[in-house]
Amino acid sequence: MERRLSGSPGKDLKGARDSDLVAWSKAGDLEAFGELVRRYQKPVFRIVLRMVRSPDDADDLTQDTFVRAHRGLKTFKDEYDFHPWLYRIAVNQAINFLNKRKRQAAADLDEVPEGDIRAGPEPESPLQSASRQELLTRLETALDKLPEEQRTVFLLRVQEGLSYEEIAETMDTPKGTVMSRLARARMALRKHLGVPVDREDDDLRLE
Amino acid sequence: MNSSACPSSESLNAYFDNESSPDDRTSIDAHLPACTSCRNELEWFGLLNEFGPRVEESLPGDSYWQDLPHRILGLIMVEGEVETPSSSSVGTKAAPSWWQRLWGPSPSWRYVSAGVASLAVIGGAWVITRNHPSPVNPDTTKSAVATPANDEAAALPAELQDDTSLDTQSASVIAKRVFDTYGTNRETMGTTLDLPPGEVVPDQGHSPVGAQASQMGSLNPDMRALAEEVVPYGCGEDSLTQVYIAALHAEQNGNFRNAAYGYRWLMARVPQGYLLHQYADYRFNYLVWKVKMQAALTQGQTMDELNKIADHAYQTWEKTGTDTDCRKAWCMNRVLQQLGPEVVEPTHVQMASTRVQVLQDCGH
Repeated sequence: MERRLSGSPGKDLKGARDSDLVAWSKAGDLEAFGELVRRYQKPVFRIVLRMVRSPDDADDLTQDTFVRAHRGLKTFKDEYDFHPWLYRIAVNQAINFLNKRKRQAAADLDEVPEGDIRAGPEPESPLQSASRQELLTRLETALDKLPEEQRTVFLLRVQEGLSYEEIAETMDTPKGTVMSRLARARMALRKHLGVPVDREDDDLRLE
Repeated sequence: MNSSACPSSESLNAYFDNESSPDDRTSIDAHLPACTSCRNELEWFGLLNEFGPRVEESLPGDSYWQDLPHRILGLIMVEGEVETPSSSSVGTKAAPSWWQRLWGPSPSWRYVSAGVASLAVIGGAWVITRNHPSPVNPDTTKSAVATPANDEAAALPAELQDDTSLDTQSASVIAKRVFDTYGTNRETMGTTLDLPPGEVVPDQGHSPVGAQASQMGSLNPDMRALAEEVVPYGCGEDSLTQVYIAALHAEQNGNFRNAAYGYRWLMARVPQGYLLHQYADYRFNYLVWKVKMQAALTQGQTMDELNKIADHAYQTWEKTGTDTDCRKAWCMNRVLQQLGPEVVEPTHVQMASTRVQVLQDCGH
């Protein structure tokens, strides 16, 4: 396979569909793959940044994600969308990184007291009494406390706007599991902030 | 679904996310006007959606996104899968122009060599990011000022030995000016160089180390312009960065002796672990290897001998286990691997690839 970096004559890279860019990339057109990088570098960075919480680590993982994606293009099936597949690589990269980090610093993590999740005042109705900035700050802290799979589903939906089907594809899990994880994540965030859940048939329990 | 009973949490989530079936949507639409708790729940979901913009605020600036694709493509190109131009002399292993294609003016190969530099520089920044010494750590500064051993200098190719007839704009002149400015106060020099981790660079929104690596890792072939871009990130006009710029310029212009002097000067005076030391270290090793290969070809040496050199570097690292030897071995084997089976025996390429795999994490 011949790789070409200098120009893609006759190709409108910016206006091309993802599927076309993937096909050209498979044929060795690095500029086409560069366009895919430009399109998805921010979502990938955001996903891994949210998961690993360090810009430098997110930088490394974003690079790794695209390098691995390029390496795996030959096995990518054209009938699928590119970006869920790419996000799956990013999520897996971040999970592997976190697992490695957890193993290295297990003792430190164990020292985080459970009560910290609810640190700070617990107003009766945060939706009304807390300032938006305060609430978002506390929500962010609570988000960090979610189980990994719940946080990932939540981020892919809320932050990246993926459909349930796309999230299922990204995480290689059934759509029903995505729905339940998302519901649990939203409820967990609410409970972490001390907001009572008062719906009649609340049938979910925190994991 | 009975409109009088609350929908399940999953159904309400799906309703909020526009993922409900038409029947569920109709049913929930009918339920909501009479149910405060479900409406509150939906209000809560809406509030949670505000997380998106908050993440956006913490993203790096525009220059980071413009540069990142180049860095990624550079990494891809040096992954070992880059093929030589099909128009070249395939099959003529003794062709004398292989190094020109690697280091010469051919646009595509300039990207390749820049990609290698990118990888090296990024790798250097990676080390700093994770293990950054304190600029006032006396142990660090003490261990960092060691001058390269005389035997190492003696082993350099003649083209890279120090020369007293340097031009007025060379690295040595600037180096002297910097040295006069900062004297022998290593801590002052270190502090001037240091870019504290976590410090926000205006208009970058990213750590200076990352921004600096980003700038230096670009595939822009004009190395001088690239180096000058580093200056605003904490290294002023009178800083040691100017030495590095001069050395890069010299290397670009083919004045390897000046370039080597500049790199070695920096390696001897900038504490190990600082970004500039890492840059100089990598560039110097590439320069040494480049000159050795050119000399080998000029003298009619075969690729087998180059392979021996790379192998020897690897064995040296196996004995010493030092980061410096690791990087040297990596550089040599990486270049050998890059040349590919077109100009190197396939078995040697394979061996170089294996060594690179082993060495790629050195220093991390």
